[in-house]
Amino acid sequence: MSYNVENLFLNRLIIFLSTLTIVIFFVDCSGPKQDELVVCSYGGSFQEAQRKAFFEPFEKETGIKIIEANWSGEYAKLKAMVESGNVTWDLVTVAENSIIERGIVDDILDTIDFSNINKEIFYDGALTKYSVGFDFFSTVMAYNSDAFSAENTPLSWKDFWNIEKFPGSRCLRKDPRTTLEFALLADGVNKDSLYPLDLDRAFRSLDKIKKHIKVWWTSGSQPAQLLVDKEVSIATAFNGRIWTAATKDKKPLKVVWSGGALDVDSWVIPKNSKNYQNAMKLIEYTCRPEVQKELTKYISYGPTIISAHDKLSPTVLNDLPTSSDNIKQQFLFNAKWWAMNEKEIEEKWNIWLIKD
Amino acid sequence: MVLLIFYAYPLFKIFIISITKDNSLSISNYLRIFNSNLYIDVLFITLKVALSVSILTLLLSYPTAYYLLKLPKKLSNKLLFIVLLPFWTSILVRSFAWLIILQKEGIVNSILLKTGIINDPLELMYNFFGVNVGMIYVFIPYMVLVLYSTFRSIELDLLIVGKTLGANPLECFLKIFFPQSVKGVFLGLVFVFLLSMGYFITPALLGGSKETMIAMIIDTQMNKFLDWGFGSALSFALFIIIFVIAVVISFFINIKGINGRMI
Repeated sequence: MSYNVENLFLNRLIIFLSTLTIVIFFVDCSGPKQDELVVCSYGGSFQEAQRKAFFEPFEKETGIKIIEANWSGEYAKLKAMVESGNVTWDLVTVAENSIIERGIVDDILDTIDFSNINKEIFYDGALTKYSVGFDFFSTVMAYNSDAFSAENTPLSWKDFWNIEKFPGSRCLRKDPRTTLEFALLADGVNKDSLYPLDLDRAFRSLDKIKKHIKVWWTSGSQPAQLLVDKEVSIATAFNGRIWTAATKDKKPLKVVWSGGALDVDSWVIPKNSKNYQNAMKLIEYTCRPEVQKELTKYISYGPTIISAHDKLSPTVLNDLPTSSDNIKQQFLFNAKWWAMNEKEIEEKWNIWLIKD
Repeated sequence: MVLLIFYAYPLFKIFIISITKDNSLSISNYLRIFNSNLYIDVLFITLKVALSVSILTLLLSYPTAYYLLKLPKKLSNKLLFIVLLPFWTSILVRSFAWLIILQKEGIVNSILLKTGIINDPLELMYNFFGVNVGMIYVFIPYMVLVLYSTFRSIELDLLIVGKTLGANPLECFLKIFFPQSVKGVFLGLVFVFLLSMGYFITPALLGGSKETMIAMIIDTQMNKFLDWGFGSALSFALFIIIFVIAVVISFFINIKGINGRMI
């Protein structure tokens, strides 16, 4: 009896699996659909903000159905996809400009059709021939305001390096990108003459603070948590993470805009994507000031269109890296320079990290 | 056959990638390992961590496995199940759990501070110690399993024989039980040592700037720089080191006159 039951179960399983295989086969072969668009982004609260501000209203307006995918910026994945000829993503969010630079070199990105986009309304650094930036984020200094008195708060990278005046452990990203820039700013380099980076000077500057760096963070969620737990008193962090902790979770965290490293979140279209036209439609949709303004409701990343800041409330503006007060204190992260030098720097960085 | 397809072939492929550069044969990837002290240093750090983790794991697991053996079978099975419980949780979650316990205002420090045992919080993580704690925790179930299965094959009647011949419990353990368990000890050590050589999630989360493991470097080379040649060269070098160590240890086991079948 039990044998029969097992047999029945096995039969059903086999039928189920073969049906599933056939279905998957057909789904895979169905090819591009006129009214679809596969958009890839980074997941989490960021993609959720994109969904509410961009995807859902876009679907309503155009009738194009958006299918979401996500990645964590693994360049190898994108490159392999284009080179294998089976491009399943039509439009990709790229948070690291070095990916764009390398994509151009490897010839895996399609050019953007700018015929319906007014380039004049954007901030400098938002557009390339192959990408359209839809928001700016910033790597900034952040601190727990409980750690310092109200009249003595850190205001610049020099203060980050000043352990006597601002006691407590520090936290830096375990990555040379932006960290070297901050070290140079702390050493007195002007933010407009950072690039090309003076590597020796940057490492000498880092030498001075090394023993006070308690944690080298590797995941974007770490700094806010470390600050809240008072594990460290000042840290570097992505401004959006600090904003979430401060605004949504009501933690006493503060952002210092001075010397922040601005970087841009962009759209890119992989070469040979199946839905270039629809991808361009979504890009054009997010190039409207009122649409970009919508994004600031869900996450504190700043519009790339200057006029999208009009009529935003002062509290919102205060938290955006791109408000007129904040943007002038920061510098634009030079992805092009990094794409050319990163490999060599990575080795120096690792050597520096493990030495005493 | 399966082993050949899924193990030997990829390994061979990695070796091929590591000795080619721009479609021609070249050993430049291997020379680059020796060009800077970095990779040798990191290999030594990796060896140091793997060695201390495997020895400490053994010291903690041996009594546990011994205790399990002495218990009635029903009870020991239940306890073994508890030992294996962490297997069902993701390694990432388990590493994060240690953050809560070991951080400055974590459980350990607050208890020690409140009871007045210490005056300043101890640095329990973001250093060598933290990495050890996190990794030992991950590997204890493996070690206990290996030891327990060896212990089960030991003739416990011999202990009774020894006792009747007048040996005290310590002598019984040292002269009868322990020699028979040496094989398991070696197997467990090798097993954990090899696993920890290629480990990197826990060291990345619980370590400081100096706890850089070779697997982290390989990961950056492969995923970030797409330098598969150099990444493969590092992987293959690691493979050779591990292979040599495994061979030496299995040789050791044979000399000792113990059945030296490797894992």
